[in-house]
Amino acid sequence: MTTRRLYAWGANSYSQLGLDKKSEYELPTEVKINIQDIKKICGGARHTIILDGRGDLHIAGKSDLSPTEYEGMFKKLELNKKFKDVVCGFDMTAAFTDDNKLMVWGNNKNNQLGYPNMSVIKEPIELSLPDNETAINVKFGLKHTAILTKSHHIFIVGLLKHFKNDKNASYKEVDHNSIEWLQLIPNIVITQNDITHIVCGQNHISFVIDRHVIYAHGDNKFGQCSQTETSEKIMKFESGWTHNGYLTESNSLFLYGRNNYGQLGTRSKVLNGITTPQKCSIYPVNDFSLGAEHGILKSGRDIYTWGWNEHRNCGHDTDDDIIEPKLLQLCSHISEIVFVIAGAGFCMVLLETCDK
Amino acid sequence: MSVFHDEIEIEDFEYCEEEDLYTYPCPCGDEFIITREELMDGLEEATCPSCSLKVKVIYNKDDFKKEHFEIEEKLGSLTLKETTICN
Repeated sequence: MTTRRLYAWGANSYSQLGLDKKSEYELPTEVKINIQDIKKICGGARHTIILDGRGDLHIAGKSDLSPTEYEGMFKKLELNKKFKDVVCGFDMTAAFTDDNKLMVWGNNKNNQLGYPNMSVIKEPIELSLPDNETAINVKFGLKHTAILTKSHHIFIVGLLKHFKNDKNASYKEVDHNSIEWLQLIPNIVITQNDITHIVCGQNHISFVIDRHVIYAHGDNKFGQCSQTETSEKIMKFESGWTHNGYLTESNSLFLYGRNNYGQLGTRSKVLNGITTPQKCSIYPVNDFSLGAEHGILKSGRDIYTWGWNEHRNCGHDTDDDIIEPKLLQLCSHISEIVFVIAGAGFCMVLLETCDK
Repeated sequence: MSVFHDEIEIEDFEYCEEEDLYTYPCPCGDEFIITREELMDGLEEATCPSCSLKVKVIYNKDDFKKEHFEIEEKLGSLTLKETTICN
């Protein structure tokens, strides 16, 4: 008989792990949940959201939603809607309803949720896009939001100066909802289904064309906006605050960008970033996720973590940075690792155990 | 000498009027904080109450010094008026 178990560790000042002690959890700790059929777990910085098979959302941590505070264990959001996907930012959330509407809520101090004059959006509100376009993907930076539309346009809203300062990028400035949006004008022709992935870091966006070519715009202080072409297909693309990673079809993981805490797992730290993607020493990699300055990967039935570790966000018995992926001692009897997730300063793992 | 996690321009910080301080998100989930008074004193280190990381605040010190003098001037004139009233 198998049982699904959720483990979490790292920063927990806001009970974002769904664990009750409001301080960091140094080692992987089982989170008591009563949620059947978990489809997705998404980590922000101060909150975590679980999407279940019925289309309901469950939240732990600090929520800007009124009137209820959702600190402590995971609680179901009563939103009278069913969802099919959810995305968390530092303190923002976006969720696609089952009828393809994009709802947003949370911090809007930089108008990053697409509306003016509201520092916090306390009830889910439908994000309205310029020219009535339809969103198909959304990602949050620290103070900006990038939206990919059905028409293959990328819109950016929120703190825009890092994009305007990027001399390699062209944008059309659009006034919508009485605020300024940028519509990215790529220097290549993009046709249907060409944009396969889009991610946001602290102050940058990056996207993949046709699973092979990575473009990026915004702040490039640490090489996080490096543009590259891969010979293999990219199957998953993620971004931390200032480092990025992609998983190829042959299960190789490559990381590039900032490496001052060992974020790239290269057994070394450098003050400046690394612009050339570095192949991870662990192989094969089946899945991975990047936090603000750390990472977690799944290789078969093993889990490895690396990077910034001040809050024990790598789950090992030390708070030193982990400069190369290190095997996590979790529990015995693991039959399958379902998800590995990194929030800003924490990690979560959903796994199946064989119970005797 | 401090090792800064990052260098952040003051315009990227959020100002909290209630507490008279500036904040910027920290990777741990908390936030870097510097008070307006510290900026007026020419300090440039914003710290996070939950971890050891700190950021260097990039700002024009003259802007805050000017504000400092303006406040001092106002306080000075208030004291002067009060003295006049008392007399």
